[in-house]
Amino acid sequence: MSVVTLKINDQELATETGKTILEAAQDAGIRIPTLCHLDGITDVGACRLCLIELKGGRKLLPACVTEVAEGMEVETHTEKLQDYRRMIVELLFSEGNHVCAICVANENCELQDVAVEVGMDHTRFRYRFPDRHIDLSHPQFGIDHNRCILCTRCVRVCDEIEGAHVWDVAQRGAAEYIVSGLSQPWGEVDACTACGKCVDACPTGSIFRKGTTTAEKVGDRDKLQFLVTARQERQWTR
Amino acid sequence: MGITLREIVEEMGGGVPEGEVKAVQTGGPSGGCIPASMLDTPVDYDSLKTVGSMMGSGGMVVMDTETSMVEVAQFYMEFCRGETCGKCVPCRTGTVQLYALLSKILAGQATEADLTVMEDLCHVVCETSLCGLGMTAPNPVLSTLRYFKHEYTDLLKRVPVSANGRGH
Repeated sequence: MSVVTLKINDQELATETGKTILEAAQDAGIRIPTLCHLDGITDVGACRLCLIELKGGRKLLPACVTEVAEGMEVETHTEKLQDYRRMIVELLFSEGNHVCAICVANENCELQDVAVEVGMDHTRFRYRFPDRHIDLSHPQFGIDHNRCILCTRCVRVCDEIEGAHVWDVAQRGAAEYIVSGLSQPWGEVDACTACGKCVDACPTGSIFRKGTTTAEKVGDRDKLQFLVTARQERQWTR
Repeated sequence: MGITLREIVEEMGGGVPEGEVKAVQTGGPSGGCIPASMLDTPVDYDSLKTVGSMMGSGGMVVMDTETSMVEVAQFYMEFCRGETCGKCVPCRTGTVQLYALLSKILAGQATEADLTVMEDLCHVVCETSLCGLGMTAPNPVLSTLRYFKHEYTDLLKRVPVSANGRGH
C-alpha cells in the first residue's frame, strides 16, 4: 500500500492508491451525491451525479470509478456541477412516476434526499407518466417499476453478493426496465432465495417488503457492506 | 480530404437542382449543420469541428431553402432517442426530453423558457453522458441553434403582453 496525496476542494488529503475519488472524499467527510453507488458492490458510473471537475482535465469525471492519483486537484461542488446535478435529478423525476406522498420509502428515499441536497424543488421538464407495471407475484416482496430509477443496484447486489442473479436489465433507452429471471413474474423465479438484499439495496421504494405501507420502508444499506467484509474480517456479528 | 464543402456540393455533386443550398449536415446523427455561408470550409477533422460539426461517418446531407432546421434537429434527436442504451441518466432521459421539447417547438406550443431549458439540457447531455452517443447527441440541436436560431424563435408561442408590459 502506498500513499497518494491529493486536493479535494482545496483540502489536502492523504489516501491509499487504488481508492476512488468518491472513497477518498467520503473518508475526509466530503459528501458527493450519488444514486448508483453502493458500498460493497461494483460501481457502474451510471447516475452521473458524482461527476467532479479535475484541474487540467478536459471532461467531467465520475468520482465512483475514477481512481485517485498523486497531485490531483478535484472540485466537487462548483456552480456548474451543482446546476448539472440538479438537472439530472429533474430528469429522473420526470422519467418515472414518483409520488412521494403515497410511497413506502417516503422520508427514507435516496432519490428524495438527493433532490433536497441539490436543491431541486420542481422539474422544468414535462412529466412523461410512463405506463409501468407492478409485480406482486413474490410471496414476500414486491417491485413497483413506477418508482424505479434504473440504478441497477438490485441487479448487482443479487449477482455479486447473493450470487443468484435474479435481476437484469431488459430493453433499452426509455423502454428499459428491471426484469426478473427469464422475463418471468418474480414469484416464479426459482433462483430467488428470498434473501431481501435487493430490498435493502434499492434507493427508492421500488423494491419493498410486502406489508409495508406509506413511509414504512427503511433500507438497511450497511448490511450489505457487513456481508461483504464478514468473511474477510471474520466478523460475524455487528 | 481538405477540399471545400462547396467543391463537393456544387461542383462534384452539381448543387441543388432547383433552388439554393441552405445547409450541409455532416457526420451523421452526431454531427452538425453547417450553413451555406460557410461552404468554403475545408473538409477535414479540425475545420469541421471548429464550425460545430464533425467528420463522423463522413456522410453528408445537403438541404435546400425549403428545409426546416428545427425539423432536421428533431429528426436526428428521434434517432438518438431510439439508439440510447439507457445506462446513464442524462442520455436515457435527456434525449427523450430534447425530442419532446423540439416537438413542442414545432407544434407552436413552446415559449422562450422552453428554448432556454432546451439549450441548458443540451449542455448537460453533452458534458455528463457516459459515452460518445450522449456526448454528441445534442450536436444537431446546438449547431442549428447556433446558425439558425431565428427558425426556433419564429416558432415560439406569442405570449400576450399584459397592460404592465410584461408577459404572463
